[in-house]
Amino acid sequence: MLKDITLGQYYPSESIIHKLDSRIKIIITLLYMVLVFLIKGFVGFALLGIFIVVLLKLSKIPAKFLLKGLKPLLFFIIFTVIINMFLTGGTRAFTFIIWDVTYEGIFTAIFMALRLIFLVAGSSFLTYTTSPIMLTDGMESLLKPFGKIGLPYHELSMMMSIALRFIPTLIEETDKIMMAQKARGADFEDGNIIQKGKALIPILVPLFISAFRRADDLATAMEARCYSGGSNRTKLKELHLGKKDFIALTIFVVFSVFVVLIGILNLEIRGF
Amino acid sequence: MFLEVENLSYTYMPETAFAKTAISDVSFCAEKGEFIGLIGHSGSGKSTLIQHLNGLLKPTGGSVVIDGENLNDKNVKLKNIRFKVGLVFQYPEAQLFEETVYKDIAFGPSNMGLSKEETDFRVHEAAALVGIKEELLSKSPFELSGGQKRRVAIAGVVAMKPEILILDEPTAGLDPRGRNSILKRIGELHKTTGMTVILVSHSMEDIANNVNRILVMNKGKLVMDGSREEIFSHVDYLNEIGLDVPQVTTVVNKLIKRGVKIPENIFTVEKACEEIKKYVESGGIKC
Ligand SMILES: Nc1ncnc2c1ncn2[C@@H]1O[C@H](COP(=O)(O)OP(=O)(O)OP(=O)(O)O)[C@@H](O)[C@H]1O
Ligand SMILES: [Mg+2]
Repeated sequence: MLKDITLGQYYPSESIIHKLDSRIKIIITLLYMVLVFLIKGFVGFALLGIFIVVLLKLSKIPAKFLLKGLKPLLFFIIFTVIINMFLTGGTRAFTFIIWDVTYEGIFTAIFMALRLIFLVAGSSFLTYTTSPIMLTDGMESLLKPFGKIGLPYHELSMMMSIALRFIPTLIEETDKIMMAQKARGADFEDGNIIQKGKALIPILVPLFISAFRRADDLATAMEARCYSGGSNRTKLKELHLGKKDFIALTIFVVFSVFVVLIGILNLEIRGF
Repeated sequence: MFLEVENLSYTYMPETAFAKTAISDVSFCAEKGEFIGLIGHSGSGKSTLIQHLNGLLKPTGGSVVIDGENLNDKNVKLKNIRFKVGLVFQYPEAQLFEETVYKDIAFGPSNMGLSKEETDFRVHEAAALVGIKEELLSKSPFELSGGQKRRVAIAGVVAMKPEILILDEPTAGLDPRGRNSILKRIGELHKTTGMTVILVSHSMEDIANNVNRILVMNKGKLVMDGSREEIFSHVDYLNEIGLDVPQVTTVVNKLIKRGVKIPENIFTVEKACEEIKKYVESGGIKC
């Protein structure tokens, strides 16, 4: 079922990670993404693995939930692995039918797969541990300096919060419509690509209609309550940077520097 | 038994923080030709329960057997079960998608692989049964009123000629005439075809006017299963779980308390009128 998609969802819980300021979490996530690309060897990935496990424990998110979130990426990962395996030049390891597979190819493939997995696993903690409202508030606050050069930061964050808010609603709606059409004998699993494409029509038409109606309703409701965005709006929950936020950032920076140093000082295991 | 539900349980999103047990340990049976009402407060698990009856939801525990076929069995073709057990969803007008009403009603029958002639016949038959006029068949379903849309959606399921027809609040949000006419059509359908019908409704009047057996759900459990008379005699218990008896029954019960000699167990306005008239004519009341 579509509901099983956990990527990008919020997982409510009362953990230290959940309580961190969303701005700090966004910054850490961005740094983390850079870090993933700076890692050049297995030691780095092992350290990153430990980091993820610690994060799992601290945030009280079940490992299953995280793994489920990675599942939709499986196809993408396999695709990258295959491309890298066959298209990297170097010393030949073995021949698969007519294509040569090189040692370099195998290692690049493994690296790319690890990189992708860690990239998604780590950054998905941002949405798992931050409620959509906090996330957009954080975004807005971080983007505010760009307002001076004309970036409509408030509108952007408003759009993002609406989009985030409606993802679960749309998933639920899709589920319901799918069930209703299945009840009339619609088949979404069997058939060739053309038949499968055609089978989507009974889902997409009602879904679009309801999405447009919802958008319309929301606009009317916002107008009816005299919504006007902009800098004069106050927030119910103000963001506050506390001691724990600085500690979290410091720990992460120290960790990153350590991981990068290992790479630079050539303490890495690179396979060959 | 045509339909057997045994110890059925279902949990939404199990093993997550959102886990929610919607129904637990529900068991009941139904014969062919029964007209069953399913009532329960909002969130008591009615919709969840009926979505198991045609295999849309896989139970987390227990089983559903339709006509000797266990839906948990991997070899059972669920698609065929869905033609046997027709399910009309809550607010079914949300599922309309075709260019014309005709095509939308024909969606189910054509999925069954019926011939063009048979499909055509069934579409006209089903449209007539739910009270959709011929001239509407060539219109777009999106030009229709809410009540007409609802009828089209019901016709789409009726056209598959299921052996069990399940309707999840078919009259929610309709005007009184719309409600009565849809319910009357369903009643006729039940009488003429001998179809088993399960009607989910929040209106005790609708239930009292149509069904002969009632299932009562409370907090995901099936708490009562019995005839109309039996169920509606437990006024206090029904009130306790957020339900009620038909308004006319309340009136009749109050009259009886005041010493008016009319029989208990009156659930329809017609019957109440009849009995009160009898009482007045017998000289029980001085005007
Ligand atoms: N898709 C879903 N995901 C998670 N929980 C759900 C879902 N659908 C229903 N529930 C929960 O399961 C419980 C039973 O819901 P259900 O829809 O079966 O109730 P119902 O008796 O049909 O109510 P109503 O009369 O309002 O239609 C509710 O508490 C609801 O919150
Ligand atoms: Mg319901």
